[in-house]
Parts: sequence; C-alpha cells; structure tokens
Amino acid sequence: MVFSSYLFLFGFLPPALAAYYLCPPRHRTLAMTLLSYLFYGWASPWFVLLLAGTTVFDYVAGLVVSGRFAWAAGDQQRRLGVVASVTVNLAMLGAFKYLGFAQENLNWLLDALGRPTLDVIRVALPVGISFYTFQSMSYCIDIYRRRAQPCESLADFACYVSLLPHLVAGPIVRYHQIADQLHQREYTWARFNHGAAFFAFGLAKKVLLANPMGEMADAAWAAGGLSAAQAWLGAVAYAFQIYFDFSGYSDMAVGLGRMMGFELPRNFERPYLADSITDFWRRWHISLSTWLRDYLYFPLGGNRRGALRTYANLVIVMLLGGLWHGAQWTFVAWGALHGAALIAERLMGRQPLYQRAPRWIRVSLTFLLALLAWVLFRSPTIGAAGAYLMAMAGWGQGRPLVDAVLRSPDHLLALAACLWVTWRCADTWEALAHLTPRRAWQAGLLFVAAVLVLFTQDYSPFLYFQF
Amino acid sequence: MGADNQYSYRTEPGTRWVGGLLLAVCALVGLADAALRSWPAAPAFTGAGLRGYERALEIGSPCGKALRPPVQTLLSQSLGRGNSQTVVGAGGWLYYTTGLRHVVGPDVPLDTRPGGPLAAFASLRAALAERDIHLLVLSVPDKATLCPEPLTGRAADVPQRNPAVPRLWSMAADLGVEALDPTDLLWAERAGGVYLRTDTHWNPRGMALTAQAVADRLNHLGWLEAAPRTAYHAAPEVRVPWHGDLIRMLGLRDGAAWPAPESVTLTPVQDDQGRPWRPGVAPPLVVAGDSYSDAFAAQQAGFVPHLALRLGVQARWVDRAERLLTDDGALRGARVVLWQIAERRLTENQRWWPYFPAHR
Repeated sequence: MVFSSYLFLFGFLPPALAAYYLCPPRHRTLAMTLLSYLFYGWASPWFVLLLAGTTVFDYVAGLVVSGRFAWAAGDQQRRLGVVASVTVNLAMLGAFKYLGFAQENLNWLLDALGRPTLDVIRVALPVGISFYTFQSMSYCIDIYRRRAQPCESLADFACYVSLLPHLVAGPIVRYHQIADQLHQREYTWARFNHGAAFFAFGLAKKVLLANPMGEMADAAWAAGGLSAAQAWLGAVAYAFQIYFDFSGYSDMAVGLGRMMGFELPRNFERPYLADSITDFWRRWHISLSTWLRDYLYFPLGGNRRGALRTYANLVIVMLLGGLWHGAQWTFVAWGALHGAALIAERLMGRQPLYQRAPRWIRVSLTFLLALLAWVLFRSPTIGAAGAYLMAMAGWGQGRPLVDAVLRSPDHLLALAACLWVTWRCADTWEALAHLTPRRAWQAGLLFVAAVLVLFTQDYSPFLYFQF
Repeated sequence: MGADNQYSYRTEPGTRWVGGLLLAVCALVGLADAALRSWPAAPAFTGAGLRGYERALEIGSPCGKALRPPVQTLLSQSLGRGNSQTVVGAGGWLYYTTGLRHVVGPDVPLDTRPGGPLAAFASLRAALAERDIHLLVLSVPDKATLCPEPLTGRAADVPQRNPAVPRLWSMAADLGVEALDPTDLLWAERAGGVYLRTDTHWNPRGMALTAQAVADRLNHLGWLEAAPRTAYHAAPEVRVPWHGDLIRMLGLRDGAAWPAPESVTLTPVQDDQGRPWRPGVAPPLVVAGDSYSDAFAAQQAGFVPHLALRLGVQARWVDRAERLLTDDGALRGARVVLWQIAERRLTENQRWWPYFPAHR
C-alpha cells in the first residue's frame, strides 16, 4: 500500500482519519502507532515484528544511554548503550540489505582464485528498513551526545519510529524534531486544509508527472539499442521521475502528517535549481544528507583535520551514502561521482568549477552532472551504465520504435510539464506557504485530476521504497 | 513543535474546502465501492498475497470500472496515452506492449541451454523424431514489426525486428530444426493489411497468407505426402464485427466510439459434406499454437482449419507444446507437429520455454 494507491486513498485514509479524530486527544499517539503498524503490516506482515523488535531494543538502549539503569559506571553504561544500538541497527541493515551483495562479491573473488563459491543467501528486504534504522540509531546517538532527552514512554517512541507518513520512505526525522509533537499537537481545520493541499500537490507530482516519466525511462533502459537523442530523452525522463516521485512522496508525507497534527521536515528544496553539486546536496533528500553530515561526516572529523582528511571524509560519506540506496556497485559509483564533484568544488574554494559563468549556465551544468550520475543510479550494472553513457555519446544503435514510447504525445506533454514545474514554478513549500483561494483551487483540481488518472494507471510503487 | 520545525503558513478565507474535498472524494469512492463491489476471496497473510488482494480490489472497483473507460478514452484519443499493456498509435491503432518491448528490447538470448527457445525446439524435435514425427516451428512476427508507421509517424523501409531473431533461426537451423519465419512474406503483403487495428493478432488475410506459406513449406518438404487426404472447402465469406483484445486491455468497453469499430471478413472452412470444420481424431497434423492459432476458431475460420483446407489433411490444435508428450493420444496419427509461437515469446519470459528430455 502506497500513498498513491487505490487502497490507501479510498480504503485506508478515510477510516484512518476518522478513527484518529474520534479518539480522545490523549490516546491519539497510540492510535497513530496502531494505524502505522496496520499500514506497515500490509506491505510486509511479518516484518512488523522486526519493526516492533527494533523499537523496543532502541527504546531500552536509549534508557541505558540516558543512565536510567544504574548497573555500571555512568560513561561506560552510556557508551555500551549507544554502541549496542548502532551495532544492532547496522547489523540488521547489513543482514537484510547487504549480505547477498557481500556474498556475490566474495564469490567473484573466490571464482577468480579458482576456489569453490558460496550459495548466496537471498533475504527479502523489509520495506523502509533503511529509513527507520537510521531514525532509531540517531535517537540513541542524540541521547548519548546529550542533544535529546530519552523518550518517557515506549508508546511515544513506537509512534516516532513507525509514524505512518514517513515510515517507509522518509523524510528521515530526528527524535528532537518531533519529540514535543508526540505529547502535544495542534489540530485546526486550517492546518488540516494545508495538509490536504500538500497531499494533493504531492499526489499530482507522483501520478501526473513521475509515473509518465517512469514509463519513458523504463522504455529507454529496456531498449536493446538507443540513438543519442533517445538516450538523452530517457536520462532526462529518469531525472524527473526520481525527483517528482520522491519529492511527491515527501509532500504527501508532510501533508498527511499535517492533517494529523504532525510537522515533518522539508526534504527537497528545488534541487535542479542548484548551481553546484555542493548546492545540490543542500537541496536533495535533505533529511538524508543532513543525517550523513551529522552522524558520519562530523564524527569522521568533517573539515577540521586538514584538506586531505576532508576529501577522504567526503568520499567516505558519499560512497556510504550511495551504498545506503542499495547493495549495488552502481550506487557506489553514483556516490563516488558525487564525491569527486564535491572534492573538485572544494579544491576550487567551494565554488563550482564553472563559477564565472552566468547562473543559468551553472544551473544547467549542475543538472547535467546530476543527470550523468543518475545514469549510474538507474542502471542495473556498471556495464549497463557504460553502454547507456556510450549511447548518450552517440555510439549506440537506435531502434526507431523506441520513439513510440519516448515521443508519444502524452509523454512529451508530461515532459514539458516537468520542465515547467521544475524551473518555472514555485515548489510545494513555497507555493503553499500562503494558501490562497487560487492555490486551493489548484490543489483541488490537481487532486481530482490525479485521482481520475490514477484509475487508468497500474500499480507503481515509489522508487524509494526499494531503498 | 520541534526546534527545527520553524515552518509557518498562512491561510486565506475561501480555502477551507480543500481538506473537505479530499476527504469527500476519498470517502465517497470508498463507500460506493464497498457498497457495490463483489469482494475478492480473503488474501493469504503474506506480502505477495496482500498485494494481490490489493490489486484485485483496485481492478474490481465499481467506481474504477465506471471512471476508467471515459478517462482512458479521453487520454488515449487526445494524447495517445496507453497503459502498461497497450501502446496507442496514430489512427486508433493499438499495440501490445509486450510485443513492442520484444521488438525494441534486448537481443534474444542465443544460448542453447535448457530453459531457452533453442533448447526447447531442439529437444522437441529430437523427442518427436523418436516417434517418427517431424517438427516445423512457425514464429509469427509482432504487429509492431509489420505495422510500425502508426507508432512512429514515419514510413518504414524494412520490418522493425529484434536484430537477434534472424540469428536465432540460423542457429536453430544448425541444430537441425526446421523453422518458418513469415516476416518477409507478410511485410511484402502488408499493403493489403495483415494485422487487426485493435487486436494483438493477425487479421484473416495475414493468417491465410501464413497458412499458405506453411502449406507450401510442408508440401515442399513432403512430410505429409503419405498422409490420408480429407477434402475441405471454403464456405462463403462472412463479415463480423470485431472487438479487439487490446480495447479491453486498454480498459475500454467493447463497442466504444473510439477507436473506430472494426470488422473482419472470415472464410469458414467446411468438410465435403458442407459441415463446419472439426478437429481430426487422429490427424496427421497437430498444431501446438498460442492465441494466433486460436483466432477466428469460433467461426471455423482460424489458422488450423485453413491449414487443413490448404493441405487437404485433418488437423487438430493443442494450446501448449508440453501437452504433446504428456497427454494421452495427443500425437496419435501425427506425422507432423507445427509449433506456432508468437515471436515476442522469444524474449518475453525465458521461464516459459519447456524442455523435452530425450527417451521420455
């Protein structure tokens, strides 16, 4: 069940909102937790137990870190608690997400050495595990760093970890961002309307823009041969697909949260308007980039230990950031490419390589760099990415019928809409900072249009569910 | 509110209906569907089971059934929008997505290991040879191969093929497999129409041209020379309205105003008593074929009766090649097996291909 699915919109959302608001305010956090577990259980019923286990473990670890149980010397106990939390969360992530990948690479090595290979263990990936383990882990680290107080109640903590709007695809919320809201939330009709408008904008991004772009990108990547024009069209389509898919989901998450009294952080700030890769990472998947900055880059020393160490830290962060998206070398290469660009910009004094160019050229070149990196991100293997990049360079054998999908009127119209929305329109956050009657009409019409079109589309989960 | 959440927003009067609209639309559709739908069977308590149930709810939604046809018609007619199963071309031409994907997709796998088409052809040939039965493989090219113009808007000089397919037939020949690929024949004849506009399948003319090509090949090979003859006749042509399968795949209703209605002229086949053609009991020709072989069968005007007509022998149809060696009596009297496949199968699903071990 995803936010843009038939079941969520018409089968889950109305009764869930009714149940939530029919509960007395003091029980609504518990109601939210139960609804979140129901929502999550639909995606992967047995992994609810994993989510619950992680929650209990990190709640107890948080209490240990805070010194609630005095069975050892204070610092020792605190350190033990945080190490246990980080270890268990990373081990869980490793077991579910990276074990098969590690075995495949080990097999490659064993095969090269002429040794017998291992049977690769295939484990189903629990939906959203990359998001909720990062949240749970950051909770204990923040308590250890004395930047957050431990949660007083397991029910509240369970609500924080499982909060329906952001559970399966973020944004990654820090405990301190939401701690107060677990006890006290403001419910107003104006706020509910604001949330509904956010949700409508997000749904429209997903259904009207991301899905058609996904069809184009899928056609390009599935083709046996592409001309340069076809390859570029496919890559641009994927750049828009991933942006509108993920930012649309984030808008829906923020809207849904607001409809239920929660404020979630902003996850995108018009990333394709960035005029450097450094700027891009201030605007793209903000909750992940700030998480990596605070819990990885800074602990590694950040930029305080000299230039070389800074560059090394940047590379480590970007490689691991790439790997966070999935157990594939293409994600690592994607992270490496971004890391190299960040280092190049630092070498130039945190300025883009093309700093003297007019802004529109800087923005265009940054988009171009991001686009080339998306080819790595989208491709199933490094070899496939290489072949795709070769096609973009004009070394591919185009098949004319690929244009039947890439240049169909509906897809060209959706592409034009993406270009317009990306570079000429206000983002949801700016557009809805002030909900005017005009914006309300836009939201209403977009919602109705998205629902109507939704009935003609097949199941298409969010891209970030797989991460 | 948390320290990082310094979000502020303002609302103006006249905007407070948005939340109500969202709730009303969602609740009304949900309630209407709950009241009107027939509920699917309870799902298995697994991720796949629940997703299947969700999909069944979505497809069976009465509101969806009511809204889908007009919305899809509007989108398809004005913007050429298809869906996951159907690609919309110019002039109301519809194409099966899987077929197009085969034509433009990755090369056909050319290895001979079990699980692929080459191993399937070679192993069936060997298994039939043990029974003194010959095998002829017939692949039917995709609609997008033969009718590409409505998809691209440009004239095409040559059939649009997956480039590996000719290589695959060459490898099949090296393995001793006799195969017929009618692409060039149908391409040369396409001006008169070889495919239906709104259907995945060939039209009666394309079917008849292919049946003649198969008959010519079998006559040339002489595999049916000693087979008992049965006389068949072509009955007078009948014209029937045709509701293409792609219209339904697109989510439209039969008889919709768009795409323009289509009709076909069929030539039913009769025996020498004037009775409608019927499959033979122990016929010398067995056709293992897919839906191409089944098209127009209800009117006794399909591929198998037309083969029987042209060859003057009895024939029968089985829907899956695997059944040839597993069903009792499937090959009784058979001298030739014609394995007809849609060419898209070569890349569609590799797990689809059977393997016929020797000495079964």
